[in-house]
Amino acid sequence: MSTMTAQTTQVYSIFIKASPEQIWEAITTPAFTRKYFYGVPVAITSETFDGGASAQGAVVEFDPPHKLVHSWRALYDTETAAEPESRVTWEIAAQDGGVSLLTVVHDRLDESPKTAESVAGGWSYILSGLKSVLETGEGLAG
Amino acid sequence: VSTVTAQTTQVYSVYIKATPEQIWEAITTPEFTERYFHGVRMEIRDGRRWSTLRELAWDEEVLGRPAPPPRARVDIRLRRRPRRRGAEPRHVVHDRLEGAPKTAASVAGVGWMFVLSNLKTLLETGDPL
Repeated sequence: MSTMTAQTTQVYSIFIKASPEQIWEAITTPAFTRKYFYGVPVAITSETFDGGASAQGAVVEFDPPHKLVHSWRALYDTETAAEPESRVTWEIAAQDGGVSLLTVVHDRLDESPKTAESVAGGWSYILSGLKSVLETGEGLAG
Repeated sequence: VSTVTAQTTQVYSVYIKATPEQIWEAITTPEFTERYFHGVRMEIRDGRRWSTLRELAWDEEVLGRPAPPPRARVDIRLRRRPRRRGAEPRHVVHDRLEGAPKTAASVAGVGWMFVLSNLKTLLETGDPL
């Protein structure tokens, strides 16, 4: 997508016609994440981010339905798995008219260049899919 | 959304369940653009893009200065991505902003993403946000 070096702080935003509660549920429920997170059922509790063999992390902030912060280690690739953990912050803010703004910040990537490069295109795809699932009932690939 | 200086090349991407032809029509048809682009009617004419917001002059309203800075370029790229069936990525690149810091700050962050989110909702559900 780009020939630039992947940034060590990456910010992605999307506006979704859904309540913060609906978005929170879509982020933390495995049956939901399968529809937009590259088919991966992700289980999130107040302690762990469990993406099976794809990604794992420890939850450091769990404030439904507004904010979720967890560490990130991508396990789908041996090179990214060997890098230090990075951090992912999800923030949900209600807007006017039944619309919410979802922002994902992936940072602390300074020592993890392979991970930074790997996730750079992925987050746009994940957030686009999440929006489609909530607004139309189907993911992008459905 | 951020305290850093706005970048002079900004890239925003969204995947839309629509064909490139449908997205192109939505970008270049005034009746379409006014439904998702803050009410602005846009069309391509004589190799230029013309924008009108009711009776207001777009540049004067937005930039608020008598002598506008060097015109920035908005580059819209479409390409098919067969790996992801039915989902077309749309990229907007807003660059040449070196001489236009106010414009760069104005469009940075969620500005373009609101437009792209709205466009995606309009194409996928028939109604804007």
